[in-house]
Formats: sequence, structure tokens, C-alpha cells
Amino acid sequence: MNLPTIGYSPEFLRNPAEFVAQRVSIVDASVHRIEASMNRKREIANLHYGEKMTLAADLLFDNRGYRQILESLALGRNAVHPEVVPIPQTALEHHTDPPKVEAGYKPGEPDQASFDLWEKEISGAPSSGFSRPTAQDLVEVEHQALLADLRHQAGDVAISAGETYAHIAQVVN
Amino acid sequence: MPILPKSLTNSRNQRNEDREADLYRSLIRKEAKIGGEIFGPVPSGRKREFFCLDEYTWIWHEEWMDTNGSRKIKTTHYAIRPTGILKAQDGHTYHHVNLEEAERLLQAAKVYENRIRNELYAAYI
Repeated sequence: MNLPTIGYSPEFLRNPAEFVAQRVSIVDASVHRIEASMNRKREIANLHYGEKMTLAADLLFDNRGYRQILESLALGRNAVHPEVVPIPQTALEHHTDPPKVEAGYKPGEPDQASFDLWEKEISGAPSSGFSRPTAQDLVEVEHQALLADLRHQAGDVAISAGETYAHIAQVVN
Repeated sequence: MPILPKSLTNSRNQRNEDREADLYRSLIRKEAKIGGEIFGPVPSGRKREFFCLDEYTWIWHEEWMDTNGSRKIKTTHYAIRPTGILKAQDGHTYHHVNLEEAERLLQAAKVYENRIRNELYAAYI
């Protein structure tokens, strides 16, 4: 029977010292990730409105044109000529699409097998039917959190992904 | 020509892998138990586990009996993301934790790392 392991191949266990070093290094890396993540969250909390919009847009689209527009908004310039920064029509059409995950974006790579094994073999609990989120699910949560933050910062100005881009289109036209 | 028949070698390798997988699970269970003690004494009849599943995931699992004698289970998953920490309980959707909760998770993770180093793996480090 080939048993799955949580993030390790059984080969690690052939050398306990190596396994321990590997295991401790993973826990240590995770602790540092938590610290880095919190630092970044604090930085984001202090960003200007436009910078947050840039971040929200980056999560939605890998689109340099949009990013430039948003950055110019962040700098207080109210208009960017469409010929200088063309807005692809498709981007506007797709503004309600779920966020796209950029190629190579792999933090927290989903590993359903790890969860399944943990539920069955380690927790001893009956399966909750919980599915580990995909990287795209997590990006969606981050995007929604940013939009919520933007709404809060903007006061009465309601912002949604669609409204954000409609607003940008208005500005550039 | 091989000294041992191939089937016997395969069987031996499989036994080794099974034993190693058992050992691995046993170590994770020990880590989880140590992790569960970080937050103070675990009340009698209650099972609490807290552990690092992988570099991006921490899990808190708690089981207890309520006043009616029915078994209750709560599982919390923390996903470490570049711009914040997400949390989901019992399969519900993920949401961002506030900085206060993130601070507590960080403190717990640090204590966890320290304790598994000293109490579980010291002989190998």
C-alpha cells in the first residue's frame, strides 16, 4: 500500500536527522512567512487609496495598461490619454470575471491529499468534507478584502470590481 | 543475478515505506499534541491539536463533548498568504484575520517551533 505523506516523501524518513532538519526548516519558514505576511498587511493598510486600487487590479488582471492608469490615479493625475495607455476592451468586458491567477503564482499550492490524510489519519475525526481552497479561491478572498478596504476608505463611494473599471474608463475618456 | 527474488525485495521495500509512514504520522501527532498544550492546560475530556501542516498552513483541531453528551468538533485552518492570513472554520469560506489574531498565531507558531525543537527533535538537531 502506498501511503501518502504530508508534504514529504517517505525517503526523508530513511534518514531521521535529515527528516528532522527538513521538518524544522519547514516550520521555521512558515513562522517567517507569517511575519512577512503581517508586515505586508500593515504596509497595505497604510497605502493610499490609489495604491490599493493598483493592488486590487493586480490581483484581477496582469494588465500593465490598467496598472499605469491606476498608478497615475494614485499620483493624483486625473487623466491619462487612452492613446498613451490603451485600455483593452476585453478587460472591461471581463471585469466581472473571477480573478486570474498568474502563471507561476504558487504560494500555498493546494494539496488536497494532505488534508485528506490529515483528516483520516491524524485528526481521527470523521471527514468534514472540507476542500482545500485553490490558489484562485484565495486570490479571490484577497481581492474581496482589498475591495472592502477600499470601500471603507472611500467612504460613501461604492466600489466593486466593475465600478472600479467603469470609473477608470470614465476618467480616461 | 540478484541474490533475493524481486518479489521479496519489493515486499521488504514496501514494509519499510509503511513503517516510515507510520513513524511520520506518529511524529506529526506528537507535534500536534505539543501544539495543543501551548494555549494552556487542555480540559479533561477535550482533545486539542495545533500544528503546522506545511509551510503555508496551520491547523487547530478541537474535540469535546457538549452538555448533552454529543461530540463536537471544530477545525480551523489558517492559510498564510503574502498579504495576510486567511482563516476558515469547519469548511466555511476563508476570511482575513485581523492583526490581533495574526499576532496571536505568530506567537503560537514561535512557541510551537521552539517546543518541537527542544522536546521532540533535540536529539537530532
